[in-house]
Amino acid sequence: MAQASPVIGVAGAGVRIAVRPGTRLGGRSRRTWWEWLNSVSIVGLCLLFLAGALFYVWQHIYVVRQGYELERLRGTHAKLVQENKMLRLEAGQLRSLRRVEEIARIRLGMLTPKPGQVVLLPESTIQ
Amino acid sequence: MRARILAIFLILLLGLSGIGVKVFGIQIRQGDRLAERAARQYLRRLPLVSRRGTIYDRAGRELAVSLRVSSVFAEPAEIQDPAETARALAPVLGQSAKEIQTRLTTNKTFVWLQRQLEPRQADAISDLNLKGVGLAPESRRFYPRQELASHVLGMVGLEDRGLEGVEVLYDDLLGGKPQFVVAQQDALGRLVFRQDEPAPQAPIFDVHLTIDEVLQYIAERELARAVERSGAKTGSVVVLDPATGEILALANQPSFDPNSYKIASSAAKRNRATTDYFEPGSIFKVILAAGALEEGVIRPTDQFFGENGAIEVGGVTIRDHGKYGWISVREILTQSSNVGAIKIGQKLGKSLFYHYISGFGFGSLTGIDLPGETPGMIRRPKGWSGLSLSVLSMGQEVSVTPVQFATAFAALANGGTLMRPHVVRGLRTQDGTLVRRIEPVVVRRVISEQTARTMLEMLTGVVDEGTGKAAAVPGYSVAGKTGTAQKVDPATGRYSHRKIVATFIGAIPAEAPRLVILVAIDEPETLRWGGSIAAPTFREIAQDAMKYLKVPPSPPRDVRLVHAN
Repeated sequence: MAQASPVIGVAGAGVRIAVRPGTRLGGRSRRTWWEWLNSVSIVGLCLLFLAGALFYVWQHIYVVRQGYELERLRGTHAKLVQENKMLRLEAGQLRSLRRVEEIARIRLGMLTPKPGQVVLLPESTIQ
Repeated sequence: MRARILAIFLILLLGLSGIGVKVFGIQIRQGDRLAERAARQYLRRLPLVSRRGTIYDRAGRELAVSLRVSSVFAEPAEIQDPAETARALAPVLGQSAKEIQTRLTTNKTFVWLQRQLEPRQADAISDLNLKGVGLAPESRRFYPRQELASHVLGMVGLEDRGLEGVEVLYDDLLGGKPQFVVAQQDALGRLVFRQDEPAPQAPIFDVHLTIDEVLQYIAERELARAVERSGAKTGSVVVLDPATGEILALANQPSFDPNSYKIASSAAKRNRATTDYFEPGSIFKVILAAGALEEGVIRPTDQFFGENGAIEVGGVTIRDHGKYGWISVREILTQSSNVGAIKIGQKLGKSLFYHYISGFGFGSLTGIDLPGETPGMIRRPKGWSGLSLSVLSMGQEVSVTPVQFATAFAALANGGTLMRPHVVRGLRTQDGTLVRRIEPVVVRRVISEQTARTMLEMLTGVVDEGTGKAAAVPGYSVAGKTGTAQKVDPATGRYSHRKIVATFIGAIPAEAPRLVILVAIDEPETLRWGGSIAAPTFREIAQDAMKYLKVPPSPPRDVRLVHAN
């Protein structure tokens, strides 16, 4: 062997890799890790952005869907309120005193009580 | 290689510049206009159906309610085949296809084809799915009890505005102004979001009437029977609570159904009880006697000579129904003696009589909360002729409305106080909170309690033994007065013997009146006396009303209730 040189190894036949003095061993493996991390972060950020975008879109779609649902329920509510009013109107018409009296007198044969058949007592006499 | 790259770069630059120019044009130059156009496409202005307040009777029974209905409209420019559209609509709308087609071919951008459809019609039109034909929501007023209290309620027109009665007088409080809400819609026109509904421009109230549905029904039923039985032209009944001036029933004949007011005649829609005046005739003797008693110019037992049934005043002979000799004030009222009334009038004098006539409210509005009230007519004493005092004592040369006379009589029934009659009892918000109670309003004291009591006592004689026997209600004492007033024939300008107004006014039970009932039958063909048509009508109404109100019968006259230990 000739004079000692900062050769730390032989990479291959006839190829020498020179390393500057002071260079720490293991540097190659750390750079790879950093690069890996770098790529992962980019991908991660992209995914995160995509997820955010998807969430944003989903949220909008959800709100719009809820809007449709709300309008549908509002329509149903209005319809039921209307139906209730119609039924109350019909009940009101059916309770018309002329109709009630006709049914009572003609169909059921009811009569107006004769004087004396209904006795009303003064309140003061009711204990 | 470089040249190629340069070429591609230039092409891209050119393209991007083109896009840039277009973007500038769209965003900057036309931005506002396009934004507005876009907003118009995705924003829709929805009409909100107005929420007109409900009208209730005094027991909270619905008398007028509003419901949402549809009206069908057309946009003629959108219709490609008007003939075909008209043919499809004709059977649903019940109109001729030709008529509809004429309206579909106008130059207008919007035409109503039919307002306020029945629900089945709206469904049928919706199913037809015709281009250029649409349905718009509107509010429609319904009166579930049909004709009941129609003259008090009035009616509402197509634009949801009151036209008559309480509907027009309380129009602003019942509300019903058109309102809109803005909503977003998608490309298919489906609604996605809407803004919160705006607060009504003015608060909307429900109106609670003093009218009682049952008493109103009884009054209407009996009035219709009386008018039919006597072949009369018209008639009115007013039932009021003398203590408060609350109108419990107000009926007129002819009447109408406010649900279909358009087909009713103006005569049927006329609220005669407040707008028509008539010469009261003998019922006016009550006012004369009350004034004379109050002034102390007469006492119930004072005797007047009946002149054997005829008296000459100012060159005119006025006759009585009977040849009366000496009769008391009480008998003058029970027998309705004209000669006796004239003598009381002469004793009271012009100015005092006028003082009481105006004091009881004649010649001025009662202030009832219904539109179109008339004040009646009474001349000032300066304008009276030599005959005026005498004929006024018999109820001529003065005209009154039914509500006016019922109010005046109520002053006798409540101890001498003239009350303002009213038909609205209170206003509530739509959640039922009472916001305004209409309190009874005392107009003035007209006579003392003592005079009022004496008058009622004398007037029970009219029903017990006088001209108003037909008004007697078994079990109850009634204080009342009949009237049969001749009408002036417009053709001759003289009092007609054929045309009369038959009236009866009474308070029941006489010892503590709960009701004052006035019955006026105009121009009856048969049963032409107040005692033969108006008095029995009073009896029928009063009898049912006492049962309904559960008023205990009057104590027998000769029995006094005492506490027994």
